[in-house]
Amino acid sequence: MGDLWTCAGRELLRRTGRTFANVFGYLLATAMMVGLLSLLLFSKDAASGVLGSTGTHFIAFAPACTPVCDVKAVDAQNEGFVANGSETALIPAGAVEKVKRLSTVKDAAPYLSFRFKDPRDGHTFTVGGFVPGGNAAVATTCCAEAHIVAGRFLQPDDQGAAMLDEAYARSQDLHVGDKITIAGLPFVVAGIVNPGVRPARADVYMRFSDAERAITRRVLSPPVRHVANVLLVEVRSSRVQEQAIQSVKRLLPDTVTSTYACYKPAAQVMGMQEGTVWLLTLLLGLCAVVLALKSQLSSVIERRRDIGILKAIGWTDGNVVSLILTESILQALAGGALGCLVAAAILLLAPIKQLAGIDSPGPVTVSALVFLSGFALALLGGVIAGVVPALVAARQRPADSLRRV
Amino acid sequence: MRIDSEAGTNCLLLECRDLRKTFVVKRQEICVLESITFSVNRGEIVVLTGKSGAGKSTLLGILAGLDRPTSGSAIFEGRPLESMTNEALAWLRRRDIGIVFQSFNLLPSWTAFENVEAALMHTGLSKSARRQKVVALLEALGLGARLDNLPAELSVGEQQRVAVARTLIHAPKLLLADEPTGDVDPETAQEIIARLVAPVKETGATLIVATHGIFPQEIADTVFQMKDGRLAPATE
Repeated sequence: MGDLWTCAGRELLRRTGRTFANVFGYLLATAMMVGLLSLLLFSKDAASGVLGSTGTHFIAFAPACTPVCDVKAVDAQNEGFVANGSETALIPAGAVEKVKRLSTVKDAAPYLSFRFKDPRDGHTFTVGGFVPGGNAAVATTCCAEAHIVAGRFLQPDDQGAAMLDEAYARSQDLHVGDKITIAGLPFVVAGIVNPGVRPARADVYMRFSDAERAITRRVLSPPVRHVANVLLVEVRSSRVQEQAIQSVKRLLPDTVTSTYACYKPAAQVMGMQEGTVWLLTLLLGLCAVVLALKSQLSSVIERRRDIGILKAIGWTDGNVVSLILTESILQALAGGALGCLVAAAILLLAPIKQLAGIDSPGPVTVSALVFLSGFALALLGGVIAGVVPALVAARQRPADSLRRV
Repeated sequence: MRIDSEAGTNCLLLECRDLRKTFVVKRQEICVLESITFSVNRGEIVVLTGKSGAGKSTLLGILAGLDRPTSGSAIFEGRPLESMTNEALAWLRRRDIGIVFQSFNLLPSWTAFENVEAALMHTGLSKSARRQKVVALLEALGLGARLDNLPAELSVGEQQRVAVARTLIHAPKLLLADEPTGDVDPETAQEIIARLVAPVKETGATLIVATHGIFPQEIADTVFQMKDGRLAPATE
């Protein structure tokens, strides 16, 4: 084996012109492959950051099969558990934990959504009870700190505090610091929010436990404890949204889901991006292999006589194949390694983001996996580009090769 | 050397039976060798004479296992070459058969040392053992100072000596020389002839030389003349 490497190395060093051309070909191909792949992946990641979180949430609830919920409201005509305009049943305790364990689900949270009637003027309003504390599902389906327009967001220890939807606050002329009464319980308006279009939007938001207390006062029996009528779900990516919805439906067969369809085009765009990245990589790799193959084949044809001589002095077809393959692999190794270095230098030093017009806060990442893949592809290209010429060389009959001299 | 003789099997090295070789050039079949039948014993020197194109090189190519006959058989030490695999023929050339070409056929990008060493590669010899053997032979041929020179940096005579060294390095049983002195001056030719004949005397190797020019036929056991692809005993 050592002899083979020595012979191949010697041959390459003494045919500097051809070796340089081949190594440069691999360098160019690897650098382009690694550079473009890194750039495409970076661009894809930057876009995925936006697209991946587009519409990646939904709510699940069990519609009541009769106008009366399984927990009857005191004023069933006007009050009750609601979600998305429909009356709902309660979802069993423990469902949240089961949903959280789904691989497609990033986070899930219980939610109480109850319609109350104000005894003073008879208007109805919805109360949303959630667990404050930065749950991703709450932020995307209900409300988040970023949606505060006045006052502050609810904290986990905010007993007796509520937040009002901006539209509801205006309609009732309520402000931060005002006191309101719900089901006979006093609440202080801590903040006013405008979460925009959200599937679990409510007029009044409060802590989950406060909502339990208020709702318990407006239902006949038993007390509402550790149950919810809505599940808030945040999915890992828009690409698995559909899968997550189906999983939740399988887990909780009586539930329906409500979401926005915008995850569909987002997922489609992401899929197209990924497809483009891999297709381009494949095409680049193919080009590199074809170019190297052509170069190696020319080299073998050029060295027809030399190969004939080696066979005439006792080299077997296998020895010749090994020599040509080793030469090809050595060139691919050198070209691949240099290509990776060049790509790294370009990615780190050139103003790639500005040139490519990618709007992302982070720098262009130099992924070891991409580099290893680029290097491995160059090596694979070397093997493929070496195999055909090596087989051509092996098939040459020495007498023919020598006769042509 | 005998034509169609009943050679003793203990000393018979090579036998050709009704060898025929044709080539197809532009859809036309050209017969290069026809009805070649002869046998050669160990330790013999055979000279093939004939004009260019008579078929001498083609015959040597078949005897070296570089080419295959269209029909007939070339038997080396009881083994028909035409039925051997490429791999087996390569091993035969590596161990038992050596060939010197008229055009030297040295690898242009390999030095004199490397050209000779190439014949010992893949034989299982260590690098140092190979080096020792190659250097000793090249020094014996007066090329001790030219080990690291490429063929292009050597004179014609030196190139031919390197080619001879490459053939002799593994002490083959059968030496085939195709116009070994065709391109060298008379002095070098003498030296090359001496080098090719030496193994015959020292180790009992067999030498078959193809030539259309000068070769001291008196040292040959048998001289054949080739004409139009056919073999005939040389006339005095």
